[in-house]
Amino acid sequence: MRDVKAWSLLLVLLLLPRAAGADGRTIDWVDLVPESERATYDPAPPPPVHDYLSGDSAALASMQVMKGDVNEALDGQQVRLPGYVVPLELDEEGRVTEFFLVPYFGACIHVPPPPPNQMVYVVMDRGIDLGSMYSAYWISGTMATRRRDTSMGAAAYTLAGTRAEEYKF
Amino acid sequence: MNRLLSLALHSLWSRRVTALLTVFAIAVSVALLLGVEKLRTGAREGFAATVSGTDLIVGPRSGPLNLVLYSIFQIGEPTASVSWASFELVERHPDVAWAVPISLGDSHRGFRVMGTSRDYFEHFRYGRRVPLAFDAGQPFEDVHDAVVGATVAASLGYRVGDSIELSHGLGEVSFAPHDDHPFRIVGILAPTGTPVDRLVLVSLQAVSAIHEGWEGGARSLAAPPDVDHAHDPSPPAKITAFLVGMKSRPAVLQMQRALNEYAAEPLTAALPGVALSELWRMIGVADRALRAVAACVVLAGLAGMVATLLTGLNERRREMAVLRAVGAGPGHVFTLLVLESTLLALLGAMAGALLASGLLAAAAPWVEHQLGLSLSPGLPGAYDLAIGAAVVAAGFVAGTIPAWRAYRNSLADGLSMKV
Repeated sequence: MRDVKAWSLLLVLLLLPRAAGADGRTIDWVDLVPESERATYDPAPPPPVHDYLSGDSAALASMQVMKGDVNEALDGQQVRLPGYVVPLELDEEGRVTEFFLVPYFGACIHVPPPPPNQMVYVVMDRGIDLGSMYSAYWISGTMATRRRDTSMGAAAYTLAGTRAEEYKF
Repeated sequence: MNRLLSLALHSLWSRRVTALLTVFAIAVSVALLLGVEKLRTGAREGFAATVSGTDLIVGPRSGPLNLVLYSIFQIGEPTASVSWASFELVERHPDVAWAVPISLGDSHRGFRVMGTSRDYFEHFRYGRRVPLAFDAGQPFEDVHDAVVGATVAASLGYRVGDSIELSHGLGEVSFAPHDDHPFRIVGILAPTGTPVDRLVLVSLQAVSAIHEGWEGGARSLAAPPDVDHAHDPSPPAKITAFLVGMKSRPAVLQMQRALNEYAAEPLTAALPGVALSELWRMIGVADRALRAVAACVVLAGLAGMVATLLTGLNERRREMAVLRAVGAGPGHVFTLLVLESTLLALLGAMAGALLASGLLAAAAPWVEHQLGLSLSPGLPGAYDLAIGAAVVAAGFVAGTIPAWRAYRNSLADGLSMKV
């Protein structure tokens, strides 16, 4: 009986650091801004726009403020970052494989996108089942300071995602 | 071990009737479990495959579920209509790849009539983006042309060239036929396993035309129907809903948001995938219940096996005693009985898998025709193997009960005079 306890304790000890380490360092959106710009960092989203049906589909993307630099220290880092998902590519089963991770809901959809250094272009190794558009997700993976420009907006970061987990309070 | 296995086999063979019945009971329960799972996945896939490639379904303000039910599944009635102006606004948007209007409200002998444009045949997709195909004929050209789904054609015995009448309302029997506007069948769709099989498709102009002179809700006696007028290509003022394909994924969400907030007309834009999975979550309770019942039947089968082995022990006291007398230890007896029950479970699981695939293969055409479910026979998947392994493991565990009883019986037990 004591053996069993000892073994399970060892097992727990072996597994714990792995579970924590595999997901990388938890970062916040302010960490995506270089130190020098953090004094002026303002996370408030811009007001929503309501003229999509008029036909000017590039309106939202053109309202993106192209200011701000990237935080070079994040290049190549294993990170875990929470945010909202703007689906860009789906696989055959309807799972999201490529998306923008953004700090506020509705970015690129009815609210202008945040500056490029507040947008992360995520490519997942496996598609994720989006339970709801309104849910936020923790995305883990390897960060790169590689820029991606799309018709929806520009992202200053690219993340090779390995894990997605619904954000729960 | 080998010798014990052969002993177990021979012992089982000597009691082959009971053994066969036990195997049969387990086989039936395993077949039920596997069959339920196959039906479940078939239903789920068929359900999700009802519509694909359509990014948005737009209708009057209601719930997305309601909208998907009446526009795709032909269940329930539309609550209101959408103005043609809203349809045109969306259709002309630069991000929109295609938009197909649909108009419901008439029926033909219990099958719903859907007015749409020729684009429906080009853009509607089901399953893995499979387009609609024709078994015979072609899409409608003229106002009085109709295309029927595979089920409609099969159950009413229609062929290309037949003439049909549509009636007002969605009931099976109608006493208000639009017999002043006969339609000619120009195409029969290949079976899809989706509600499209149960549709009669006509042009939007045809829907307007058959209601010509029916504006008051019944045939007007004052204005005799003017069939030529029906060739007027002007669009209808109102449609029931429309399907939209967008050029890019993010545009889908932009369009959905914009339509749901559209001030000029109260609209609902639904993402079919989201609405379907919501619907499945609601009705998915039933299939979980089925699964639980099937699992209980397997438990009953295994309990039956244990009972049979336990009763058998009494009759086999002498057999055990003889084994012990010729040198088998209590451990050998234990192993023998566990081997027996594991063998029974293994045979039962294999027979069950065979039974399930045989029954499914035999029933597949009927199920496909009646329920629109496609049951892919295929090789046993990971789930089937897991079930088989679980049953064998359960047989092993269950076998320890009689084995333990036999293990504890003394050498003298079967040899004493009371037998």
